[in-house]
Amino acid sequence: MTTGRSAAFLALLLFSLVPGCDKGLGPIFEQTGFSGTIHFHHWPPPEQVLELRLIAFTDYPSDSSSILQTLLLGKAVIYPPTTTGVAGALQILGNKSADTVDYVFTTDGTLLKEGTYNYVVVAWRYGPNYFADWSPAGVYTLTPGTFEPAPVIVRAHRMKKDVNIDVDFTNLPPKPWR
Amino acid sequence: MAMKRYLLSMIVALCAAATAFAGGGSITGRVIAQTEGNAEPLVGAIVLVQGSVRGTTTNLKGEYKIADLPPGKYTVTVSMVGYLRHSVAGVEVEEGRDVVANVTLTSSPVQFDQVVVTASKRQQSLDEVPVSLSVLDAGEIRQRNALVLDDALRYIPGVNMTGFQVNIRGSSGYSRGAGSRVLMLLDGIPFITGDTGELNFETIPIGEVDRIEVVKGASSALYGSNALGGVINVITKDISERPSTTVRLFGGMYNQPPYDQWKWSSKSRFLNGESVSHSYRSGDLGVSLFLSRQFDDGYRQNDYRRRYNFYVKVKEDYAQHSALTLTFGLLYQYGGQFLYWRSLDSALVPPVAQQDDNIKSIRFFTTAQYTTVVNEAFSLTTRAMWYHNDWGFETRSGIGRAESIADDFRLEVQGTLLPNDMHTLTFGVDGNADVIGGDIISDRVIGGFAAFCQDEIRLAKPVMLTAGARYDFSSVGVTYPGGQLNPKIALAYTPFAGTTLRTSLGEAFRVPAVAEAFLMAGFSNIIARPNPDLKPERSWSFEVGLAQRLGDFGTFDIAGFRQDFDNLIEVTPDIEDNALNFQWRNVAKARIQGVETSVKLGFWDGLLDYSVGYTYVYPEDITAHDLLKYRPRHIFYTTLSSRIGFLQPSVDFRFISRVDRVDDILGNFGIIADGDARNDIIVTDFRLGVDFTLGNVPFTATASVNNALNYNYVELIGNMSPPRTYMLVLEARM
Repeated sequence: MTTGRSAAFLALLLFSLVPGCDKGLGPIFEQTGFSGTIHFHHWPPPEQVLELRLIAFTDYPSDSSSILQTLLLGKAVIYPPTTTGVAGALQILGNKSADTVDYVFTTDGTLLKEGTYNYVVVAWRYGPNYFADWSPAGVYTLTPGTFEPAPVIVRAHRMKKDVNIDVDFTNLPPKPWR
Repeated sequence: MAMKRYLLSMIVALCAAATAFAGGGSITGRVIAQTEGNAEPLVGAIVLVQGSVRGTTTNLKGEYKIADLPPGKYTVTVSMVGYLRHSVAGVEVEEGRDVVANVTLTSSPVQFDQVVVTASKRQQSLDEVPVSLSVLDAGEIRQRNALVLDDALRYIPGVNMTGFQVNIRGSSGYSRGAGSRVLMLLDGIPFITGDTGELNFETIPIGEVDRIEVVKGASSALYGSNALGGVINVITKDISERPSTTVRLFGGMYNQPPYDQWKWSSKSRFLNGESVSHSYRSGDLGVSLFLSRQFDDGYRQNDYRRRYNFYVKVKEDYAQHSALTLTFGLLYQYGGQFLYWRSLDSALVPPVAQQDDNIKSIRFFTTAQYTTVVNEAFSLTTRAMWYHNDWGFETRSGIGRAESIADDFRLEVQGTLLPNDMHTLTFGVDGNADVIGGDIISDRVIGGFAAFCQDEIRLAKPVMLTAGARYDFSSVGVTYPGGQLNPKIALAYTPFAGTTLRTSLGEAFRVPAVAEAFLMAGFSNIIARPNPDLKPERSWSFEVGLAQRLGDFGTFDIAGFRQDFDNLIEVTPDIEDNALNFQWRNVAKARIQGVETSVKLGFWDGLLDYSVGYTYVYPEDITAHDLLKYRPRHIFYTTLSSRIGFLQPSVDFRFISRVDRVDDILGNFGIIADGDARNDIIVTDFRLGVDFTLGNVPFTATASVNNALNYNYVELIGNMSPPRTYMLVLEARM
């Protein structure tokens, strides 16, 4: 009987070790934000490209002059953030001659938050006036050949992919801003 | 000519059987168990007279008496759970005399030759059954601390649950609570809701369940609609010979979510409850009562439950020849409605729009069953049921209630006739009517009637042929009322003691549930649309199997099966007007085939018991050239248990493979974020039971850890299953 008891305990022990240690389903550990590729066409002379930023607006800005106010109110966020200087931003977005550039706009180190951004543009500063010399250079759209903006929904722990934008410096979106 | 002679002999036998008892002799005896040198009387052992419809159970002293038997030689068979069946042959009954047949049973860790009732609507030994049948007894249910019946079903080979919907060998996918391809019976009476046609497990008083018999494969030839995939017969406990009271308390706690993203409450989530049952008999009258309360905080937000059950059973025996059993059961339940998660990152929280949804249910049933043994060759059973369902959605503050009310009435008369040693006839008629009202499904009355007949023919000693058919006429409102004839033929061949080969072929059908044809409801941006053109679905089912006894220490069973469906009803989602529309449609021809095997072993007189079951299913949608949705292809269960002195440790392990297909549109359309997230189900449960006595009152305390490895899985799209759950149960029997 002692042998039997030992065998019973051993069998129970072995049995309990059968399953693996996998924990099954879990949250998707992605960064929060969106990413994509910017395709550039017909670059202007380098001296006319003073700055490029990706700006995600919650609402459509009515004109250039309101952009600063929109940024201050947190209704638009910039990538790369302003802490990245002008030269750095140009390095990240285009380097004045690249055909394409991949970008990843996340909540890390930026003011991007969960929510819906109805107007995502590549903004181009072509002149020295930091407050006025801006133009949209490309808009995120789901209707090719148009400048009809498409919303980008930023969800927690989800990286929305393929937010691709075409920038054609010879065919700019309407200004002011829409 | 042969058929005419056969029918004539049956009619003559039936007329002869109508003759009431007239004198004869009796068989009396005592049934004892021989354990460690002591002879103990066995209470409640089943005593059957072979070749007749007569039988009884032993009383408090282990004694039995079967009176009014015509003179002749009989074989008496005695069986009881936990003991080997024993037969006494050549018991000679003489006019006006008592003949004694005492029986000593030997305990057995593995149950051989169990007496079952579902395969042929009568008591018979499991080794005579020509279909695959599994039994889960009260001990196994209690040991697993099952709070609701579906918890217990999760351990039967070939059975898996998709949420609250049961699937036997791939027959069912997921139909959102409407319709079931498995028929549930409560003590032999169809127990299916009149409106949604679903199995409601919560109404069954689980503390009063004696055993669950699961027949796998088409069974419409005896049971009619819904028995496409199989039949689950829930058999309640008989009223005990001696007064008995059982008090059961339980408490438990869910593990904290394993990821910070899943944490939604700072408080621990508990579940607790208690039940009391009492049974007593005074002379020929017996009564049992059951009361229970279950509170569950829920491991998910808005997934709490408050549940109350009441059940009473009254049985009166009229001499040995007839008995009347009346039951009444009531469920009141209130709780949150968790349809699906917000996303995999917020897997334990529903979408914002559903955070305030609740469901309140009031369900009750009452049944009457009258059995009379006309003579040793003929018995008659009449069963009736009224099953009332009232459930509805409302907000937590109780406003905006939309409800469905359904009353299902059933009546069945069944006869069992043994005209000679060769034939056992089971036949009967039944009818049902459903009265449906409320806001969710428009008012309507539906119903049907049926007649069935089955003959079990003992062709030679080792060969039993079963042939039968059932004709059903049924309607769902205005939708194609019509008749269905479902034949069945089966063969059981026992070349050696302990070896049974079986094969069966049968047709089955299912009339669409009222909800499938007429439901018109909207939840968020999901809309269920009616389809009054829905037709019944049909199937042919074939099975071949072998049951082999392995000495005195085990059993082995293997079966191959195939089921071909026509007009299969599936939920078909599509997008219209920027909303997700669901409609039940006859979409497919389908074929489900596979193999199932199980082994049960017992060593050292209960010191170690082991069981394992594996089912492979290939569920093919022939129309779409794809696999059917919501069907796993591999189901594996295994259990190891032991009894070491007063300790009873045990482990359950189950593996169910990831379902190949779900409704992708739910995820793609954004209705259920991360709706495609699913995986294999790998669950391990540990239990430890301890027997002890306090002041002459025997107690059993059981501690269990369900999903001990805290494996995160989904049975149903967008629904995370329970995490590791700790439970403690204390049961006192007086």
